[in-house]
Amino acid sequence: MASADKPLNTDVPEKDVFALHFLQSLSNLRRQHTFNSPDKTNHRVNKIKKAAYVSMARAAGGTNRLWSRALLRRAAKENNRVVGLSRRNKRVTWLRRRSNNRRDPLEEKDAERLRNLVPGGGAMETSKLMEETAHYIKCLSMQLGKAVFESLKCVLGVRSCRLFTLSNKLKKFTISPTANPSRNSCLVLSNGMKWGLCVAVL
Amino acid sequence: MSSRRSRQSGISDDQIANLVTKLQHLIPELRRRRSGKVSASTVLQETCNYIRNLHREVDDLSDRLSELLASTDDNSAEAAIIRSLLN
Repeated sequence: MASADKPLNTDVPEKDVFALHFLQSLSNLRRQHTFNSPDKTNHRVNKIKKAAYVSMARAAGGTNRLWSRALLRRAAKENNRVVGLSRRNKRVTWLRRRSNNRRDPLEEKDAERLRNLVPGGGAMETSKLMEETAHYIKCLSMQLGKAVFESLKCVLGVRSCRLFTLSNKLKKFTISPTANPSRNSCLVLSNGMKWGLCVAVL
Repeated sequence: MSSRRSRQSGISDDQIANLVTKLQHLIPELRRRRSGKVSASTVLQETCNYIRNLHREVDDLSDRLSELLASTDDNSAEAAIIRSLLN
């Protein structure tokens, strides 16, 4: 089977999946009792950041994607867990070095920069790198743009009136009018799952 | 795994160009410049910049989130919302 026939698949899951994973990991973080102390800010920020990336990697397909695999591996290494698959990396890097000579040198310089940015990029051949980058960008913008971050951005200080739904499975919802116009009201609605939510910011 | 070697030599420039176009469509900067004159090098550079921006946004929002989660002000509406989200 020639490689040209393989269709490129860069689909990403629904934004709800990202939101679900991220919310779960955040609530796990909160349960750690050292988490809420106000004096360990950097530590907390790093943990949140790591939770964001790991939950994105899990939501985007776990070990089906090279970048998510590399991300999860990196996170596991930081937690000193056992890490596998290291031998495979070396072999793929060797193959990549061999094919380097045939590429346009200008492209390789930029590709090198890209490799440093995308997790796991160092072990990828150029065409695979671009496919992974496309998927990575889609997942990142999904995580940042539409998922929890967006609703949290809204909560954190936007004055416009907006209605978000993270779940399109909502059967019914109600918004209780509040006398105080500057108060944010948030309703968590679910059809059995905790993550369906509707945020109204007034 | 050994079949990989023969497959790699079969990757054409067309396929690379195809991938570059795909990337171009994803980057907001380059979506406006659809004149077809965008070189592969530009696409890759803009991709790098875009990814760096996204990473920076993640950092910013993580900071804000961390402040919010640590807030001990029980009366603030935001803290209440976050708490209800995470419980």
